[in-house]
Amino acid sequence: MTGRQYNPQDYPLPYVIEDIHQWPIYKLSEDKEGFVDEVKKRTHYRLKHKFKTEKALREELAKVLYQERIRLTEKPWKADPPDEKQFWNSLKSKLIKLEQHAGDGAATENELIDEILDRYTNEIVGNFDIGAFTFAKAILPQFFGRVLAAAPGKWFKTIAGNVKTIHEKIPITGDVEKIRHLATKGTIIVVPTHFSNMDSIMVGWLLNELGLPAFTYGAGLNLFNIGILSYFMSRLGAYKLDRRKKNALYLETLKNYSCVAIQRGAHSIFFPGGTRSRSGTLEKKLKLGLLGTAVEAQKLHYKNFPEETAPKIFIVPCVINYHFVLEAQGLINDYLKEIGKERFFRENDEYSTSFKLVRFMLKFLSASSSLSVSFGEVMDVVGNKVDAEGESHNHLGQKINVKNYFLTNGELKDDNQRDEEYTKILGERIVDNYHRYNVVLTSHLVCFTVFELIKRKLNYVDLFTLLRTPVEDISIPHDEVVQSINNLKERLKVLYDKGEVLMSPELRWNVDKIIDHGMKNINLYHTASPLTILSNGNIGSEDLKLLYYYHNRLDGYELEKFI
Amino acid sequence: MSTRRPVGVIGAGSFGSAIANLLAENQDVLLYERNKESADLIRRTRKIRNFELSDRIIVADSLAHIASDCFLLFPVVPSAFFKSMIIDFAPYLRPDHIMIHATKGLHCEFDIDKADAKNIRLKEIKTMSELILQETGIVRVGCLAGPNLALEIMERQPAATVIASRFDEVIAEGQAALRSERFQVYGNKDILGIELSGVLKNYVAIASGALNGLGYGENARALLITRGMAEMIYIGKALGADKRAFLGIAGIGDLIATCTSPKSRNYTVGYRIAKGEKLDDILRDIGEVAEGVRTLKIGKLIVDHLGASAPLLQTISKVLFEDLSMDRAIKLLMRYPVNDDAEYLDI
Repeated sequence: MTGRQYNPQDYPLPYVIEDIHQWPIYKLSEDKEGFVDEVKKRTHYRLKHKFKTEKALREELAKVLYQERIRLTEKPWKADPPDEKQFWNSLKSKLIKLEQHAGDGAATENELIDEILDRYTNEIVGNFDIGAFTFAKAILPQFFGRVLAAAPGKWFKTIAGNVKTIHEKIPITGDVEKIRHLATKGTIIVVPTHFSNMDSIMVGWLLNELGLPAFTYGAGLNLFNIGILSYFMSRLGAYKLDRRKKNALYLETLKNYSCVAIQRGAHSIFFPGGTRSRSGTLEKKLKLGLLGTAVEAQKLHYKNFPEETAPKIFIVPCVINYHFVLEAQGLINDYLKEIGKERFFRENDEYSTSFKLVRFMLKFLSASSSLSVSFGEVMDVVGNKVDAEGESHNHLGQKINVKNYFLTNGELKDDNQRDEEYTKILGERIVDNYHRYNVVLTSHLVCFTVFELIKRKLNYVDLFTLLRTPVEDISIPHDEVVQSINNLKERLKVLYDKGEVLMSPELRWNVDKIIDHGMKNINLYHTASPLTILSNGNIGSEDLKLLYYYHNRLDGYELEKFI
Repeated sequence: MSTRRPVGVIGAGSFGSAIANLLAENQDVLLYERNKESADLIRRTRKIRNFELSDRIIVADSLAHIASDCFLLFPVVPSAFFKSMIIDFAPYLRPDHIMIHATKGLHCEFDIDKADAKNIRLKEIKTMSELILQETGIVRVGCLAGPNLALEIMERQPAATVIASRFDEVIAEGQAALRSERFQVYGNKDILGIELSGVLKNYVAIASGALNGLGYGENARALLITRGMAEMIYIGKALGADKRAFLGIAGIGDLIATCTSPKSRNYTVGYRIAKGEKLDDILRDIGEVAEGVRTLKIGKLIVDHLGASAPLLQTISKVLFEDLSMDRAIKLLMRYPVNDDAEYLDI
């Protein structure tokens, strides 16, 4: 690790750009109209490139209409605007008119497309409001502080003496100074792992603590169903993603929205896993759609600027490690349902009530160390490492001019297939970073070990048989767990020395303390404890599915061989 | 003619010069010969192994020069020397270079004569394109493979080849540079499959030469080619390639050409082994590298490492390296239990 290291008391760091009016996201919001217009024009242009004839466009329009009307009847949401039905009905009649009397005063394909793009873009677009920003900044720490000071109850006392400031609770590893510096030289795209709906708020807030100008990010439209979240998110740079809409027009609008925002210098957050990890494993395969907009934006920079002044785009992987995840239960059930023959009862949306959210926040803040965040290597859009000054170096250490990736026979050339391949390469590097910058927490290690030992004990046949085992039958001798954790500690050290994983400081403790710490943290939130101490001192579990979920966090390191 | 940029060919062996001549139909070519004396000789005589070089070929002895003048590069160097060539080349290579190699061999990070199959790591066996990606800053990599016997290409006979790459652009650039009235260029996106086709056919060619050396005729050869291809598909699949590549021009096409042509070096090795000669003597005579011998050694390590069964490969390697007689080898192979025909289409 290079650069200056910060201590908890240093946070929040001063903003790298003092004047908020100079922040890219503010400028973008100021010129919202121009921005929306550019997104629409670009999207329209790309669509015409994709659907070359009027007939193809018309067919696509019909498809969009069909899908949208199904969405309206089958999945209506509170966040939908009241005139949705009206809009799509009127569009339908226009399309029918066009099909029957083209040229005869009917709207053209292009006009209809413009109408839809206008609606989509205005729905997606976010705002950045300095007032709301300042308010949120002032109120949040106080809210957190209040909660901590006033928190009553048993769960709080058990970890007494551990009242820490939020900064002490969230250790940050990574070259913060470099990221801060590069934010003034180019556009930063943070690509975090995705485990919880908390992630976007957490990362947004953390980046603010690092003194970076506000980031823009896509938030699921369903989050806008919750009043208070909606109020802040829609004013703090979030744009809306509607996962129900999968039609080509919508997806193209979204991509161009992101691309134009990056081109205008807006630092962005992408969750390249697409959705939250259902199984609890680190992402192995990424959704490349939004990531590709970073590659596209970089290419366009080279097209639009002379080489020396072309702004650069920097990709920063970020791993968020929670001891416990708010939605763990729902996520693992989803996962098992997806892979299994078994029927699992689907839980309600975890965010459905404010009560649940508040309960989680309280527990979260009272945990002795709720999470840790680590930033990986800063990369360019093709996955090369970038130095402190933003220069790219390939895996051989050669200094690289990124523009060269977009040249053919010396000329800058548009080639979507090539750029898609670059995006795949970038995706592979990000996944690699996720594994190498994953911080092993005590809870993960204990869960992993116990689950693997259970697997062994039950002569593992298949996952579902194992998960159906009555919890009363689960009992692993304490000594066995201690021994295995000791073995894994050794192995983790080897991996750590090779730069293949990070370890939280608590892993240096003796094993009894590790088990204690891990169990306290993981059991704090869940009503049925993934790990329990039985009356005979053995270790058991009240919820194997949750245990499996947290175990999965260490999947992919082949640790099971070293137990 | 057009004003296309010159392209570079690295390696002035027989296949390298055949490729250079093909390329010279469409643009100027810089042909790299490492040895200065040989380069001078070629410049004076304009000939490589009695075949005339096109006027549009410039013999170069500087890799830096080639890298700065050409965007499109075709290395055609035996696999045993590929790594040292590419390391010498690397300082001059940039991401805007496109490299299409035509080397039908594998590279091993370990000593293949001392390796123990159990302890090898498959990651340490690399195709040439993987080696290029590892050792240079080039990303746009492709491979050229097909039934392309150098002699016939030099004689301007009609032929076809395959260019494989993840990048459409690499295929298109390769096609534009190579396509001519006497040479067709097909594209394929499965570069691993195409590379492995080109590599694995080598040992089947040795077996084919051996059959001929024993005096066997076309029935035996047809059997060998068909089941040889099946075995190639199984090994390829185990290494992550798709079977399609093996059924195309660079797969079965190349296999037929090498297994039926006495002109190929691998074929010659097999032929003379069957006649009772010693491997070392044959290799000394041939002078140039017979990739098949290396392929056999590496292939055997892979198969043993995976604990798989590849009867042809395992038997031929016993003939070459463990003094199993060819007669006995044929008996062993013919006793091998067989099952459904064309079952490899279902894997």
